Amino acid sequence: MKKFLLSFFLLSLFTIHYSLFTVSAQERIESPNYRIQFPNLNSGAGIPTSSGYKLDSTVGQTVAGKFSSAGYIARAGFQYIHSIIPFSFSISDIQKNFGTLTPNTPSTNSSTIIISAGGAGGYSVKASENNPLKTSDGGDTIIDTLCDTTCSETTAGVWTSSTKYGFGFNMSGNDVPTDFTNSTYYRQFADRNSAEVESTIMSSVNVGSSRTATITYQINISAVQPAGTYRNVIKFTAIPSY
Amino acid sequence: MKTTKQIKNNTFWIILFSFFILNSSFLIDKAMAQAISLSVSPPLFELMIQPNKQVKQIFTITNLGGDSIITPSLVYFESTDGTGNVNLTENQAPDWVIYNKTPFNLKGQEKFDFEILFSPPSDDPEIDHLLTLVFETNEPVDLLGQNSTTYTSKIGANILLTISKDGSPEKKAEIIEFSAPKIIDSLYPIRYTLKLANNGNSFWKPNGKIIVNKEILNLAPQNILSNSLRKMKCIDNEILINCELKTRFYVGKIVSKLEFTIDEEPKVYKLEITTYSLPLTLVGVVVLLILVWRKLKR
Repeated sequence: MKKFLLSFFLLSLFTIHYSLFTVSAQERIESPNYRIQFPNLNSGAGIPTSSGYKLDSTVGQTVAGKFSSAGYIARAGFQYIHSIIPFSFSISDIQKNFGTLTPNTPSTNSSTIIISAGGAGGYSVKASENNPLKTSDGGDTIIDTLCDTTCSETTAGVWTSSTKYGFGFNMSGNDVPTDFTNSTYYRQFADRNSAEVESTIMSSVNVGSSRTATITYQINISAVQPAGTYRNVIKFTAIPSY
Repeated sequence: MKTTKQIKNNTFWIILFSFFILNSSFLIDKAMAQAISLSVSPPLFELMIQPNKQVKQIFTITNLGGDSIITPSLVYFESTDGTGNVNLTENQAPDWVIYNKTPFNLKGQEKFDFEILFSPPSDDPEIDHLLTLVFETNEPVDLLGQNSTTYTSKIGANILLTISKDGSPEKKAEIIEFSAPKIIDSLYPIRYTLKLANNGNSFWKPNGKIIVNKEILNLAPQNILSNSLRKMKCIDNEILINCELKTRFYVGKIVSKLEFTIDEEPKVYKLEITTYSLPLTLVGVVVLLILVWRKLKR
């Protein structure tokens, strides 16, 4: 009897746990004349094999290419994929802390980016900074790296020297630019304050699920870098293809 | 009959187990609260609409990360590289595309249905409007007060909007490139390069195929915007693939026929190319075997 009560208690606990913490939402698209409901596919499981619904149908028309009295033709999602899978972007942090910086000792830190473009033909992720790392009064700056010899916001270069200073990033993983040959290659961020155009850090022309990349930051300062707290803001822009 | 010790032992394990289960949930929530995780659906919306008509569309944004204030905007995009990727511009959507521009709070694990009303006026010109609906997270508060970089993110969904009075906007196609190697080893597959241009006033999708003997490669119905070109992919069972034959051992003259229409229009665009497939590797192996055989014979 006690064993039965114990099992019952544990089962109840599991049930309560999963009912409280499992998301089971429904997606829908809606128009004054139609509503289509379909399961939540945020898990990034890829293209569903079961397609009891077909969303490439046009709405508000009777003959292809010609208007009916409704006066519009609407289509949601991609014609060649018979379901609508959300386009998803996630990054593992909201802030990276570099701690106390030591001159001539590079400090690194990284975040993970995950993209699911299951319902899209492809995607791109771009990145830019509001300005180089600065103190709050804007008086002092840690420059964007120029790597060991040269690099820019669009071209990576080797940065291994502890006497080359600045702030930059490396990309590794899925769909990253080919100029990040290995973990020693860095770029600087496009600086919006200097009217630089945000640059692509991940892209693909293919449908992809849970495409994952790691962005690794590196900071190296000289002994004459003024003391202070240096900050900036990185903006990531994730857009599916059309 | 269980002893007091046994009961205490059971109670201990139950409490420990409960603590583990509940605590792991809170840890997950805490970890997610420190991430940005957004999704938007549908990722693409296509609309052809007559002036003076109205259509309302809902985009659902889901927040699987921490609580965020989301700022919506609707801007024009430009095609970038012929592969379907876009560059956002600073130009705002026309004022007859109506939506609530007020930032809204979106808690973790919540979703929000965002409405857009398309209501072009009667005098609006018959052109395409290429738009991206953008949701941007706010800059998080710096709690660390240390050397750090902070993240904001934007996620978007594209809107291809055609204004047409009669539902038949001018659509024109041009085959910029349909090519394959002139000579190929018969052990290797033929891979095609196909670039199509849109010289009309409205975006369209090719509806067609590449035919080689009994093998058919279906063109992916990817959008080609007006006054732009696109490197086309083929499609196999909802998977985008390179336009490449599966059958390999062809020998001789191979004629590859490209046929497609613009959407469902009657005009068929056609082009043929020729490839000569030769058994180069096999011939090489045979020659090598003959040479070895002759050498051994001596």
